[in-house]
This record gives sequence, C-alpha cells and structure tokens, in this order.
Amino acid sequence: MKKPRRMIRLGHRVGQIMDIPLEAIGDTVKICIIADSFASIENYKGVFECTESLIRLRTAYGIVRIEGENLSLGELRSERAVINGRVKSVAFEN
Amino acid sequence: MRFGVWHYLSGYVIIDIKGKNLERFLNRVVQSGGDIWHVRRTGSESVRACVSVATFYALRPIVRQCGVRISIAAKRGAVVSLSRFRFRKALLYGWMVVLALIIAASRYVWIVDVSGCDRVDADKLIASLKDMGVGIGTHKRAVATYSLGQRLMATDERIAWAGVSISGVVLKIEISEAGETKPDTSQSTEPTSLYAAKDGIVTELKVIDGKAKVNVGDAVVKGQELVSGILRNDEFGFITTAARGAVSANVIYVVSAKAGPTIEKLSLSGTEAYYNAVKLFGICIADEPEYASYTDETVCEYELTGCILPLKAERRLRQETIVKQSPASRQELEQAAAAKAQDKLNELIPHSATIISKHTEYETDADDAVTAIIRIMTEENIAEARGIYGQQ
Repeated sequence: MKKPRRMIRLGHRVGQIMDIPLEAIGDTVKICIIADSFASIENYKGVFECTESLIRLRTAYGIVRIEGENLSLGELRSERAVINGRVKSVAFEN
Repeated sequence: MRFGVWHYLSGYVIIDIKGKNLERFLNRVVQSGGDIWHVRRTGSESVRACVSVATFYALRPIVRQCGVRISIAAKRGAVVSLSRFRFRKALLYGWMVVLALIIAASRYVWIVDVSGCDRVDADKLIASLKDMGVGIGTHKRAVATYSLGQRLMATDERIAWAGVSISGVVLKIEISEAGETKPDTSQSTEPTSLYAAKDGIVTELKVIDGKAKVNVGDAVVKGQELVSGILRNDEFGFITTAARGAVSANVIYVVSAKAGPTIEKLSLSGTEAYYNAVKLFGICIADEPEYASYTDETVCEYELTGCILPLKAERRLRQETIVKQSPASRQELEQAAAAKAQDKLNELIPHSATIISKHTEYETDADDAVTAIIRIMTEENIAEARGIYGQQ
C-alpha cells in the first residue's frame, strides 16, 4: 500500500535537514545506472514482470520499467535488485 | 559479482523454473530470505536461476504454493566437486599427501646455483659449502645467507665478494672475483741502480729515475749496470737517487731433456671383468668392479622396446691399467722429452715474459733415448735493483 504523499514529503524534509541519504528514509527508491549495462534498484517491493527485453519492479512510487536487451536479474535480494544486460530506458509507470 | 567466490566455495545449483506464476515465485523466494541470482528468461513460461544449496532445500513449500515446477540444470561449487570424491577417498587422500609432500619439500634447498666463477672453481666452492653444512637437502632456515657469504670470501683470496640468497628451492651464490694484484709501486729511499739479471739484447728502455748506461740494441751480460743511481751535479759533484725504470731485452733460453729408451705409461695389467649397466634418463646403475685405474669399453647395447620408460642396458668390459716402464715409439719418446724440457723452461721463464720464437730439435742417442733441445727467445724486463755499487 502506498504511503500518503504528506508522509513522504515529511520524511524528505527531515532527511534534508539532518543530511541523511533519502534512500535510508522509509521506502524511497534509489536507482543507479552504470553505463548501459548495469542498473541497481534499492528499496523495491517485488518483481512485477521479468522478460529478456522488459523488467518491471514494484516500488513505493509506482512501477519502475526497465527496457533493454538480454536483461537478467543478476542479484535479487530483499532490499536490492541488480539488472544486467543492455539497458535502454528506465521509466516510472503511473 | 563480489559474492561469486563465496557462492562457488559454498556450492550452488542452477535450476529451471517452469510455470505461469514465475514472478510470484521469485518474490516469495526473496521474501523468505533465500539466495537467488542470475535470473533470466529462457522461454515464455520458463526462467533459469542460480540458488544456493540451502535455498534449494527450502524451495519445496514455495514451489507448491506458486504452482511451478523446478528441475536441476547443473550443480556447481567446491562442495559439489568434493562430493564426487566421497566414493574415491583414496584419490582424495592421495592428492592431499602429494600436496603435503610438495609443501614439505619446498622448505629445503634442492638446487645450488653458482654464478660469476671465472678463475675460481665452482665445484670447489660447492665442496666448501658442504664442509660448512650447506648443500642439497639443507633446511632453508639453517642457511644464514649473510654469514655464509662472508665465510665463502675467506675460503679463497680470489673472491672479492660473495653473495648468497635463496629463491624458492634454489640456493644462489654470486661471486665477484678480485682483479690481478697490482705491482708494488712504493718508492725506495735508499740509493739504488738497476743491473741486468740475465744476458740479452736491449729492446726497450724506460727510465723514471737515474741515468741510462745502455742504449736500445746493446748486448748486455748478467750483472751489467743498466741504469745508474749516481747522477752528476755541478753544484755538489754528484748526487744519488733510487734508480727506477724498466729495461726490456731479448733473452735466449736453451734447455734440453732426455727420455727413453723406455717411458712410464699406462698399460693394461691383464686383469679384466665384464659387467652390466642399466641407464634411465641418463642415470646409470651398475655393479662395477673396483680398480684403482681402468678403461671401460661398451661391448653391446640393448634398448628395451615396448617399455614406457626409456630403459637401456649395456654390457661393458672393464680393464685394469697400471703405470709401468714400457718400450715406446719414437714419437712417444719425442713427446716425453719435449714435455720434460718444457717443464724446465716453465720454471726459468717468468710469467710476464713474451715468447718471441720457439724452436725444438731432437737427437737420438746410442741407447735409443731421445733428447729434446728447446730454444726459446723471449722479451722480458731484465732490470733488477741493487745498491749503487752493485751490492745485493
């Protein structure tokens, strides 16, 4: 269940004041992309779809859509997912 | 992947997951704390993934809940490799014993490598090391490299520096040999003159101190003054100095030596014996008869065919030899006489002399003995320092 926007904004405000990384507060998703071959998503909720050209992950901010070629889930842990392959685009779905 | 090495050591399984609810299955595995990675789609309803061994055993309830089927595609890891030896314990223990022997053997010195030897004999150096208790089979800890180098330098004055180091199982010894000793150039304060030590014809005159009494081309006899230490001076009449210099002259040596009619040479004593020898990789094993001096002759050789190892067998004849007076040919007598004459010459001619010419003649005596007469002309320094009045 998504958190209310008001709570999310409050958490961000506290984080900014205390200089705490945003991804450490609550369910803020953090996406790191290195070149076009490696993508790391932290604070995800689960795998929604997994194919060779499309991987969709559920997050607190909606579904993150990663498109590309030869995609695979290199690492799948409760707090972090790593995607290997040729990443072409990363987008949030409404 | 940073956990790749850990996954290999602990072992993992590559599984194929087939069914409709594949993403649900992955989420359940992750939520249960299972270790899963390298997830990739292999078909419309199949996925391949790697899971740890512990996770694989915990998949059963999740598989039932999600309605998927899993099958093992491959097993990987050190644990899996070792499990193949569970029925071949002897092989595993054998490998462990070999590894232990290699580790144990690497603590000892097995090769001695000597470099830098030109005049110094490397074999004598290795023999000196053995006397010091260092050689093949010595424990590395027993080799004190610094003090060993110092002790090696003390064994031979020709060794200017000796360095010892251990590299693996090789004991490396590097030698730097000392250069030729320089002549004593200290100046004498007593007045001296230079006189001829031998008869000769002067070829070169180098006077550093004193007055030359001869010229190039002059024939001089033994004891003749060459460079005088007495110098004429208008003020004092004369002054004395220590004459220094070098006077080179051609000197002729004539030496003769006789050999025969019989000479000592190696001859067969008549005692002989046959024996067999086996060779493998250059190493020869044989039950050899013991003689003080002998010659060996290979009578026949066999090579074993159909054998994996290159074994060779030889039949040899060993004949005892002794030194005794035997009649000799003219050529042998000439060689023996020339060798004796040369030995005499080596004692007479100094090392610094340059040989200009050499001529050898042979004469036969009434008793068939051969006399070799060697005439050598050398160029050498014949000046020797004595008191200014010729006293030694």
